[in-house]
Amino acid sequence: MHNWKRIVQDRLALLHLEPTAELDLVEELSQHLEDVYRELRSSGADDEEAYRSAVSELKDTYALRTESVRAQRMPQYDFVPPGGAVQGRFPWIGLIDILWRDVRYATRILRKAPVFVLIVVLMLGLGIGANTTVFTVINTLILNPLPVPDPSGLAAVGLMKPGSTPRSGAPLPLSYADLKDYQARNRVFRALAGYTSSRPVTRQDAEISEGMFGQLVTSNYFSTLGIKPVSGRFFLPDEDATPGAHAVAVINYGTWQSRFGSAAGIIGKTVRLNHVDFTIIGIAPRHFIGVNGIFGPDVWVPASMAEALFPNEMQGALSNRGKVFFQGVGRLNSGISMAQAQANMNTLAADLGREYPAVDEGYAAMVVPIRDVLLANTGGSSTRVLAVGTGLLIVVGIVLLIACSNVANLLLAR
Amino acid sequence: MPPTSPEQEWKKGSAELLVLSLLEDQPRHGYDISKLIQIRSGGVLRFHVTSLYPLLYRLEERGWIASRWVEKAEQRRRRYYNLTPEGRKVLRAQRKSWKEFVAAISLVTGVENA
Repeated sequence: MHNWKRIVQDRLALLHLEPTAELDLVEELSQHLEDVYRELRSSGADDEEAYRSAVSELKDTYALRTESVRAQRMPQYDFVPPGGAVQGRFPWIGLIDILWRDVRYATRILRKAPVFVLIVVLMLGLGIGANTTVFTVINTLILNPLPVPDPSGLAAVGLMKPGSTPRSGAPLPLSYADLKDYQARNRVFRALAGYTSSRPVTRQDAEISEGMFGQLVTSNYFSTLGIKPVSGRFFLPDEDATPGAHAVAVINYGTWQSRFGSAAGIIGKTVRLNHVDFTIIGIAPRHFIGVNGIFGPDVWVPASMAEALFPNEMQGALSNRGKVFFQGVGRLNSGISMAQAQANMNTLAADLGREYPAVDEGYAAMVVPIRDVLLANTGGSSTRVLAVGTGLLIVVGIVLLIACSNVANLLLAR
Repeated sequence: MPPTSPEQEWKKGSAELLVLSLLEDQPRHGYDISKLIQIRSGGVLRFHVTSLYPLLYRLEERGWIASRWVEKAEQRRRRYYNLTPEGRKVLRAQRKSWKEFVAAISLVTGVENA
């Protein structure tokens, strides 16, 4: 028996047709030749004669190339029962079949050239990965820096040496006692809260001991920002009143997911931090990482727990005006501008300077929009980060384009 | 009417007219079409696969015919071609054109049956 497919394939090989079109054409022509051969044989021709006649049908294959190239499109498939109509009743079966054939074809091609595939995947992966990373950073820092209601009504409050703005653009921190005075005496903020930087703490468990980051905040921190917990509650006013009395904690949403496996019954559970048992009372909203652009704490605890949580570092932090750990964040009263707030806080700073000259003299208050300090921890002002971010985005965009053109070149070379 | 017009149409369309006519009543596969042309023309007209299939693809490309692979039990799958509504219109026009051409030839040559 003659292998008609092979015969047709050999003739078409020189035409370099697109593989799918060639498969189709080979099948159709080989059937035709086989039909011709069978008919000649049944009409009495010997094998040699029938074979030669059938093969002679294939002269001038160039016409095939011209038309096949023009007609290179996916064939349609139908499955019909014996004697059924040619038009299918379930065209989607054909589509699935086409898709399945495509997948198999792609798999075969990929398997044949694993190194090529690896190089292409790496190139595109690096390009796309770099873009995603940079865009994520830009999105976090510039497009959506602080996921709280009305962030423009928030001001960063702290100190500065008159005539010299801090390099980071963020005010110098306040002592807890000074913060309390500013809270009580100011007439420009609806609420004024304080928070420390994120500090490493050790979480002790029965099985593990792991590093986390904790932040001390005043009890009105979350209400000042205007956010609500996804579960449980935030701190009550009296929870930062008595030092060491209220070992409660609010956890970061991401930490709840990653470290606690999104456990439903986490509220009321105990977490041991630096050998102190804290009761988890709430989970912060998703995407909220504190007043920070990039890096936020895993857990927030009341400022009153400062000495209990950090016995060495924070000794006297709640009473000693010389220990400055707290950044202030205030929600402006309606109708109050940053300049008015600055003026009012300057007056208070001068008062405190007179009252506590040993530690507070020589400082002025500093009130700036909250977005200016979000990036302070990353070591840059928002303008600089915006410029660097935009530059990076352009660079990685070009990298992706180069990767794409490299892949295109590789494909062309093949 | 210039005599070249139907002639040009005839030259271009005679092979197409044959295929479209054979698909008028029912879908057929390539071998069936080529066999019918040969039989019905008494062996005078014959298409090699390298002429027939490019023609079929061209007609399909123009949307005059459509094709589908059909699998029937205990038979090899075959590609069947059928006439599209547009193909049906073209067939009518080509038939008319052909008749005009034959009539013109008859008038000039005095041959009654072209």
